[in-house]
Amino acid sequence: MQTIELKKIVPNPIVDIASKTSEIWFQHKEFTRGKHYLITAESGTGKSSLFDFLYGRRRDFQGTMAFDGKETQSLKVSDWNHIRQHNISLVFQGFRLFPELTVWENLQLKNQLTGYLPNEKMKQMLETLGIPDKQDVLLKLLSYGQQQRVAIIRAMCQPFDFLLLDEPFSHLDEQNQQIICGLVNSELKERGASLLLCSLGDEYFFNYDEKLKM
Amino acid sequence: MLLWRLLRKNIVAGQLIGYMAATLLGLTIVLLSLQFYHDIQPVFSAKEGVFARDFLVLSKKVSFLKTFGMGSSEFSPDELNEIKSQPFVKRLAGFTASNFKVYASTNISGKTANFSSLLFFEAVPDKFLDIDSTEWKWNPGSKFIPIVIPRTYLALYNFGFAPSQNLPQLSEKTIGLMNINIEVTGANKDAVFQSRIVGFTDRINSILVPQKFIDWANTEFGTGKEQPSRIIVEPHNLTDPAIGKYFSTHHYEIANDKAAAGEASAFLRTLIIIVMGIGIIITMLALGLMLLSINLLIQKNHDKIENLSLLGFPSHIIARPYQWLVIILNVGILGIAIGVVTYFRGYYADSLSVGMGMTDNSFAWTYILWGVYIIAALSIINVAWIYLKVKEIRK
Repeated sequence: MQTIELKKIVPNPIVDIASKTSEIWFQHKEFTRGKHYLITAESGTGKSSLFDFLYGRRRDFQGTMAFDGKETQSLKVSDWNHIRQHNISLVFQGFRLFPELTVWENLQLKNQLTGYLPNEKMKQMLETLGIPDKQDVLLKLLSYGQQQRVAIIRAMCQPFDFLLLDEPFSHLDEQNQQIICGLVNSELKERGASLLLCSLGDEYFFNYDEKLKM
Repeated sequence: MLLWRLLRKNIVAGQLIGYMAATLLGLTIVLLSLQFYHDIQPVFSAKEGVFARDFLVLSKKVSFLKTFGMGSSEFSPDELNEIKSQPFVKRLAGFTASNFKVYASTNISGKTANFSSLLFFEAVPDKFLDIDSTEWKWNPGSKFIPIVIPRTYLALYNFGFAPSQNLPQLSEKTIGLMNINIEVTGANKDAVFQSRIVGFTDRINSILVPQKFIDWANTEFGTGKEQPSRIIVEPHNLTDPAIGKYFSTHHYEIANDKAAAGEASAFLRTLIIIVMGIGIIITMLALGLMLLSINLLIQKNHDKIENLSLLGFPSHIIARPYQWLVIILNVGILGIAIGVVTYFRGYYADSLSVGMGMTDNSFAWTYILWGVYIIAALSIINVAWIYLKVKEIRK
């Protein structure tokens, strides 16, 4: 997937209150593969909604969206499954991990579907992020910050053209943020993929091609 | 495997056991009644069985006087006409007895035993007989006479005569392969025929040959025509109470009364259908229970299923662990049900084969096949339901 186009979209619930000066809502906007975008927004302006739209979880918006010129309304459930496995990877704000499985099983669940990462690579990532000893621990026994790191690694367990991070590092100290950003950066570079990062204001440790205000 | 570990949470063993027990009960009842119905079908429909299409064989009572030749046991033409005119009689015919001497001989198992005996023949018109055999025919000039004997004669031989004489017991098939020599004499003539037993009857207590042969032989070797001493009657409705009344007032005797059997046949059929209906209802209720349990299970695992679909899992993959679960359950139920039915069938098959002439009490496909059909149908409904419910979650 090379481009994501937003054509004057705005979430239905905030049609009336969305800022007309927003650089996302009501605009023609194109995201191109390989570029890094920072989207800053205040709470309640719909940044999670944007990612839900891009990920096909919600459809309650006005305007249209297109992937490589193909409008998203025409996508079938099976198309979305394919996109979620191959083109777009999303780290949810609530992570959506499975607390009753171990860390390793959480990663395997996704990786078995895509068959993308070799086991050594996943182990290496756990090590890089400082949680190699948690591999066989049930996820529900991990701290919030540790779970956040698992969610990031799981997002890497698939090929993608666009990586969507929603408030990703809110519970980590600066040193850890730096380490994770390093890992994400090298993955983005390796894959030539795009980054779309939503944040309340933090820029974290990435270089951006474009900064947009929601 | 991971999916199963994730999704098995919230499965309530009690519900599954309830489903298994209920389906097992329903399925067993349905299959057992189906198989029972199938097993006694020959008895219902067989033309020579206990519940055969019903004819009555009438004779006059043999009294003390008749033994000494005073009074006749034959039916006069007037009597025949009177019986024929009764409203319950559809048609009737007299037995034609042989008027000549018959001498039969055979040997069983090579030289083990030579049989020979004086015999007699009788005949009734073919329309009162339902003999399947293509050999049941005779034409003037033919040297082969087909014979039909009462099934009880075979039983008499197998269980009475054969054991006492150290002779082999014979099945209906083997006895049918035996060649019998028939020597017919009378009117200073004789002739030799070949013969075989081509069928068995439970209806008529006599040794039967084709009507054509008797008619020909009686004129050839016999001493002229006689009035019949036994007649066969086909009533419109066997359960008509007027029949019994009429015959008893005229002192006619009905050989092996089938009126009761006719009623029993209808009653048994109804009973089987009711039992089968109950089985079907139980099975349907069990299915309903399972569908509700599936609903509950999928609702309880709603978040997990939604998260899985957000990871890109297609609905059919998410549904698969549950689908396998019900399929394995159903196959298990089928296996147990077949075992139970086989066990019970063994019980009744023995008594049936002796009492009702159920010939094939060996292996049967009917209930296994129907069990597979029913379980396949249940599984398809369950599998489709699970898929739809999983799909519903990802709006």
